[in-house]
Amino acid sequence: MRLPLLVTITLVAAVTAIFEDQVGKFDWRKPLIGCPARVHFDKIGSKSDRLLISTEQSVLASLVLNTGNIGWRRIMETPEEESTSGLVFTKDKEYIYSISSDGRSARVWRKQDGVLVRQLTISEEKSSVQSIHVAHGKLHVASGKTLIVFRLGDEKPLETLVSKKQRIYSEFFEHDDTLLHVSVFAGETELEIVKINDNGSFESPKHSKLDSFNAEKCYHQAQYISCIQGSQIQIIDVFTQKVYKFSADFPIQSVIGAGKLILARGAQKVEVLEVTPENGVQVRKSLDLKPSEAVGITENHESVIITSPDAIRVVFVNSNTHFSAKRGDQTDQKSTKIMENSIPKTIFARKNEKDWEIVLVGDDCRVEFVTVDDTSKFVNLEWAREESLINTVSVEMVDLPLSESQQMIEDEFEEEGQQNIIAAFFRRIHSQFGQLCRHIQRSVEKIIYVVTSISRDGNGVSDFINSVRSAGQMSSAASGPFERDYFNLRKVIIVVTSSGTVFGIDSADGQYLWKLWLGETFSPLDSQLDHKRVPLFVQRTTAHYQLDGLASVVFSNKNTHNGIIVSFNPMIGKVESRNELGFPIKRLSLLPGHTHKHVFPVMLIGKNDQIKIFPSITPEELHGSTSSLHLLDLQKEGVQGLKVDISSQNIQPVWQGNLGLTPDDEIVAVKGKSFNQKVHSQGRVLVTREVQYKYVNPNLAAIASINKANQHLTITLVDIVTGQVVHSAAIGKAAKPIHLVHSENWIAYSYWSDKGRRTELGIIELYEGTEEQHTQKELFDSKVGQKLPPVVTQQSYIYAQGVDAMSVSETEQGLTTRSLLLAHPSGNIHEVSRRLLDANRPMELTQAMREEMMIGYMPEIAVATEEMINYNQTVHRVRGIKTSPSGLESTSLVLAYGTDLFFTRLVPSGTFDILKDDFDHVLISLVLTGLVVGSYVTKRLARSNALASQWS
Amino acid sequence: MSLSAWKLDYSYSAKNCRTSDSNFNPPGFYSSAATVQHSAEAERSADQHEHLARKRAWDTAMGPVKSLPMNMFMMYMAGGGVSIFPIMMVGMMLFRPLKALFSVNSTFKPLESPATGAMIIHKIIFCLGNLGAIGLAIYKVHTMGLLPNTPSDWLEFIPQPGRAQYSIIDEVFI
Repeated sequence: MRLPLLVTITLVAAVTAIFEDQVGKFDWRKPLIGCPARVHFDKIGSKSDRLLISTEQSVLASLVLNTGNIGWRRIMETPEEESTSGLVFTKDKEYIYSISSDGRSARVWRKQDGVLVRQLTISEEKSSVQSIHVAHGKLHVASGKTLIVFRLGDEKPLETLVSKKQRIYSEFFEHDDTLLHVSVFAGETELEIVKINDNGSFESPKHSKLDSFNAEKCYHQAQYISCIQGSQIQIIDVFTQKVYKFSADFPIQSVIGAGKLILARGAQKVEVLEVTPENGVQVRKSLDLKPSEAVGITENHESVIITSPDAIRVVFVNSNTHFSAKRGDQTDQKSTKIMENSIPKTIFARKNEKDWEIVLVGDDCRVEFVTVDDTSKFVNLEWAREESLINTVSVEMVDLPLSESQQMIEDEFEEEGQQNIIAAFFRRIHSQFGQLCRHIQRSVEKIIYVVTSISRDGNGVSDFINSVRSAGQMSSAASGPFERDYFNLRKVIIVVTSSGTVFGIDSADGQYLWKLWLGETFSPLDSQLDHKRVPLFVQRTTAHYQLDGLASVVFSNKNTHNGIIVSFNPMIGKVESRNELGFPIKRLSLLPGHTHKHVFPVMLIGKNDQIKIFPSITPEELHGSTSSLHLLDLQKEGVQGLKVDISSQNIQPVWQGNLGLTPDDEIVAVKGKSFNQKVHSQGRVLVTREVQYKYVNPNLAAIASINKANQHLTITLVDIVTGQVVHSAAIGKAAKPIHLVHSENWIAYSYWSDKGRRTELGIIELYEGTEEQHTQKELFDSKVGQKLPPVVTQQSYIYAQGVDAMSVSETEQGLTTRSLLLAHPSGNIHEVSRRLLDANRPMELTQAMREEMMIGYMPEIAVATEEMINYNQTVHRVRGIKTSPSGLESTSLVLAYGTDLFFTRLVPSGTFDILKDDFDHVLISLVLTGLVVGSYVTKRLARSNALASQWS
Repeated sequence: MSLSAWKLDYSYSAKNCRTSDSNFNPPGFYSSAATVQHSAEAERSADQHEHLARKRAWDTAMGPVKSLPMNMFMMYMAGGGVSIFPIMMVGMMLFRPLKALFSVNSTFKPLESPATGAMIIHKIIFCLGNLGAIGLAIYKVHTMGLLPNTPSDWLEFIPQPGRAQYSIIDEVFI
């Protein structure tokens, strides 16, 4: 019995795999590293220049300096506390030494290829105060309370020193072969300086008194620690334990330095200081600057780099000279593109023989590498990377505008008022003439392209075929991104990040079409469930060709916490309006009705229940749809159903209750269905050929909560109009991570089962029952009671992998069997058909069931490699998967985002509505014409043959 | 060609065929005796012919009914699977009686004779038999699950219900 079953399952799997020649045809991946926090210029061997970068997202990477491509990249554990300091690392000639897993272990990486050479245990305790230093063939690590020395190549520590108190500051200093470890303990304002001898042993600590200490306002370099106190700066020479003080005439914002130079930056001014034992602190130079300019210091040359959005100034500290170089046009390729970048935030620079090499990191995490030539005074942008995409929070896919010919057809049917048959006839003729002209123009373009490419590439047959093929592709690329393709497979992906950037990305190849920077005051909205969110709404699609599309993004002001809504054109990224509200945003939604300009307004509800609608909608326009909306309000104490009257703009509670939640319960997920999800089939056909009708309640919310005390996962389904609890299920011994997907009439969830010590998938399906219990209805009204409560079926499956993110495929009509997409921590995205994750898989298969191709219940859901939609394109730390329908019913577009971006097409039931792309039109038409011609020829031959035989 | 169109006339041949010359007769053969016998049989054959015609008419009328059990067996043998051969067989079984139903009159035309009369009853029985065959074929189609006679067959035509109330289920921000 098992064997045929296995065979069926493998058959299901086989159709999902892609062929070798399809690799990279429909998909692309953008590997990212994140916002650089520490950057080192480095060299591998004698030639290849590299950048060693550790980022805020705890990624250690090596970028090729010339191209900006990732040489290698290692993704570490995300620290528990959010920090922007990045991984602490140091390097020697061959290896990189880093501290990871919250300061519990040190890792040694080979610089050339990022191979993990060794992992050393530091301590059991977690700490975010870390420092690492390598000198004299020894590795010195400080983390939390521990100070530890390893001999290189040895896994056993040479010396360990565990202090009683927690450190709040820790740093190693090396000068003239003397190595010091300087630390500050919690609650103290005293520096503890420990000298580390050549054999690794520690000398008894010395102490140095400070006025006050704040680790965040201190900067260390060479042998100094400089700390800011208002407009005063305190500089400690750790080797002599001398404290120097300097007062500026402005409040100091930040301090940086290199070598002997220290830069104290105010809003309008920078003081370049130098400390000498004889003269104390001296001002070497004083520079004026604008608040929007960023300051950096060259690490191996006494010069200061000041960048503004359009120029880079290089100021020499030694001489009185400086020069300024204009930055070239940053939007290099096409000047029409909107590319808004933020100003640089941090500057890493070095000087080589000819020019300055500068890495600029913006507030928007854009990493730019520029070179400034001393003689030609020109800034050369070598490469730029958009690293804010690592913080993607919202994604929408927008159709491209109608093509010219499609517009003509639309035009023809648009003017319905005209009844005149002759006018209509002329319009038809006109539009078809237009189509013909367009077609001819296209063909001519194509022929010219082919001819030129043939004359360029030589004249072999294969060249000819290749050029004809590429002509087909050319037409799709050259027509610009702003035209819909035949199957609407190409879209503009709008990506919003929590760093305050909005990108328009071409789904065909992952190119950036435009970029918006939402400003320095940007701050994402914080949700109740501890997510950072920047909601994005598509208010008007591009279906109305006379009107441009419209999308809006909502965030809050960092300073005032008031909500801001920015509307823009999703095709070109042009900002239409920017409005700041007078209140912080509590909840927001798209309204179901649209204005006469086809814009779906966004309703924003403030903290004190103020309502604002963008753009405003008149009561007449509203009348067409609905005048009220229902909301769910989850509080610690209980649950509340609210009703919003849009026309009178007030909110009133409708029902109240509790879900039986105790203080130990924590709500982990609340999921509704997407606003206009299409469910094509209203029921499920049973083996008896009866129908089980689906219970598709659009107002159903699935609430998952977890009880920490007795480890119960509870899933409650609440109708939020009436407050009726439709179903609730409890799963024992369940733990985080919990992921929930709510679609059609089913809820799928994943959890960690503590009992089985494995990940499990659960599915709940809701049915209204068979024919007798079902009533045909045009509207689903929650207030009209059902004859019987919904029939609930549920099932659990073992899943052999962890789950990072969970999503479900979306197609245009909802006809195709849906697939669940599960992102694994290992970087795979696994497609599980709903046929497998089904609550109705029978325990025992009868003959009739087998004939219906049903799959019997098996506790495991197999994880087969050919079901990975990203084959070998590993996608790390996936946080979300966005699916969107295409023009083809079989195809769903998928964007997975996390540390990488990955886009592909998904065909959950195979491409049933399109010919396979290896379908050979040429061969088939050749064979057909050959057959027809052959039959005619043989007919002739046969006739003459017969005649001849009769004569003879 | 009907049975009444031709007959053997033994009496006629007696005069101008070779057998009339008694010299050629085998010994002991008397053509007159044979003629007498013949004529006696010819008298009886009118009766027999009438009987035969009626029998043939009944045979034709009962034909479809008689083939029903065989059809049943064949259908049983064809099995319930939906594949090309059972479908072809069922199709044949459906179309043959249908065709026969449309050509009832032409089927009975050659059998018409004064003896059989208008053959109304025959025709009715013939029709019933064919209808029975059609019924059988339809039953077979039904058991194969090809008839759209259950709600599940019309499921995809049920439109998705709209919504009476609109609701937002989204995260709440602090």
